[in-house]
Amino acid sequence: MLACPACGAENMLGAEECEACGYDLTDLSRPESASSFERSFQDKPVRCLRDHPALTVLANQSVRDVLGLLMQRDEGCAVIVDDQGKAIGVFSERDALMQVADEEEDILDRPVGELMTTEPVTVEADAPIAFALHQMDLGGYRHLPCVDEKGIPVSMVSVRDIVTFVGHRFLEGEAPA
Amino acid sequence: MEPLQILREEPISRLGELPLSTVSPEQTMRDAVAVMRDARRGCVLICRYKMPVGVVTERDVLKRLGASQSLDVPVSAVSTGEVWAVKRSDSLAHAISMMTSHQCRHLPVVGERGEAVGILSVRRIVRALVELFPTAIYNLPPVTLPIRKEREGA
Repeated sequence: MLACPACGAENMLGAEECEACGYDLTDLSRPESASSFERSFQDKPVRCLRDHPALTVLANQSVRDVLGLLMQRDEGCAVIVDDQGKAIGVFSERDALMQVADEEEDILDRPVGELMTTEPVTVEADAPIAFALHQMDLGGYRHLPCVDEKGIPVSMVSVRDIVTFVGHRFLEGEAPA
Repeated sequence: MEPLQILREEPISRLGELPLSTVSPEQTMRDAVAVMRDARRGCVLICRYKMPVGVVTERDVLKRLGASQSLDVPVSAVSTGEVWAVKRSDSLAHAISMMTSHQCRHLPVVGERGEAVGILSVRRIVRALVELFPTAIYNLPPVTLPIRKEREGA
């Protein structure tokens, strides 16, 4: 049972608000993680990761141009935006590799909008890192566009950023010889 | 055991069998692309007599394509020849540090005699983190996102 800190009434474990007084219990219902390591995944928002602006392109840009930009910016994934700047798709190195290498010339000149993955899974900058990690693991994604409340991409979170976060935060000083 | 302690003490072999895709130094970049696509992996090892002598990644391929260079060249001509390998007995923390310090997404894993036994990807590390910390990662506020059966896109 969960005692309400405001009125002391007993509530079901996992209750979102106190049945007696309506006090918000969501924070109490969140599972307690054992270590600071685990807690940091829950407490730290996605924006604590290496913050690099998302590479945004328009759907009518050619695959060749987008590939060039990815390589130039050393990015693994571009976000395709509509004319309002909203994220409508993603095009990753993996997409490129799977589709481009066959009939190179032909596909390189096609608009990226034809080859992108539509309705990409996105995260908000305030979401906990654990959430991004979970999404990446579920979908097998290497990149998640981070969007603001209007769906405008503000940055890109990559699987490498998360591993770097773990490396820098917890394993510093254990660098390989 | 503390999660951090697990990372520091558990060996890479704890992750089980790791995938291994290889090409020989004489094979072409086009061959390497075919291997990557079949295996759906972003990295193949260049091996001579089972010993890793180089790595070809999808970025190497895309750099060539972006610069309109041919894929019909031997992989040995493109690969940098630097191989950051880890041993199966090294800790997971060591692997993470290697990936962080060398900024790579894949590490060749070698056995006792230096023979290639697998490729450890950053994705597999993420899987391991999720498996190690189920409390932190699975017990999140519910989201109404469809769970996709196939991996797609990024």
